[in-house]
Amino acid sequence: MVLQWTPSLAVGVPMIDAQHQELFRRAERLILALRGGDRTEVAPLVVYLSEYAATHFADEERLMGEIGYPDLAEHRAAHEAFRKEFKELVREYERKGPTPLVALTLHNWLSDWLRRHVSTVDMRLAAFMEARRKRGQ
Amino acid sequence: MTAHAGTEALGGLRWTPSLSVGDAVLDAQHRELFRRAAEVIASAERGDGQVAGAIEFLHEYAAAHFGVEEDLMVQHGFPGLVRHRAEHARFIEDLLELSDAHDRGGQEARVSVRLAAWLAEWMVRHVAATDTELGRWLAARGVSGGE
Repeated sequence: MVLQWTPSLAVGVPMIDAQHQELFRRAERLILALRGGDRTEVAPLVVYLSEYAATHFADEERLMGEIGYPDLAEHRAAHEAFRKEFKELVREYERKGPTPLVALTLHNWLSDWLRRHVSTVDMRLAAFMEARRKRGQ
Repeated sequence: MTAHAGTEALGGLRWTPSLSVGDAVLDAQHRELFRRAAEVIASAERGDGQVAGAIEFLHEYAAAHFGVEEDLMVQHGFPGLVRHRAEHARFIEDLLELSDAHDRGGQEARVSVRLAAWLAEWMVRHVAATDTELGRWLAARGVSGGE
């Protein structure tokens, strides 16, 4: 149950793959801090992850706009769902503290969300970009 | 984590209505857990390592199930809350440690055996005892049903 990027998650767009790897790294650091049980370590890592997610989502959305990606709205909605759900989970953490159950819940959700989004939604974007490239655009 | 030849402890232990905690959702989750535990143990004994799937299931089970139980205990002021929650926390820490060992690689068989023994002990010590204690306490107060 590793919270780690693997080559099977590569979408073939260097900038996006690099950002995904960073996203996974930051997510893992957050989970390790939660498992450590120290609130003072956790707080900055929550920010660290959400800021990077925001940057990455913005970069992807800008790219999608530039290339006229037809499913931009749906993709952006998925990003927004992450923001909302993550914020809710963080609120729950703030209520309950860095307990093993909170750590596990966040681990499960982050691992599942990231792997699923990257291997489906982002993969579709990559396929579109590849098709464009083949058409010489 | 205690090393423990616990598979004998599981023996013929399986979910029966006597293990009901009086909540349909929790009972269903327990039945599924007994089924999975039996599979994991059989798999370890055969040495055919379905470890990754078992570990993933246990991650989901723990997160979904412990939260429901803990909310129920808080809601009804169960006096054994702290101890019960501590057992949950210990399970999660053990699970994450086993998961780390598995992720590091190269120890499939050993992790499989450890996992089976540890899970068997959990079924006996926690599900059949601690959860049943909660169930009986809830039932004595006429608390039934759940989300």
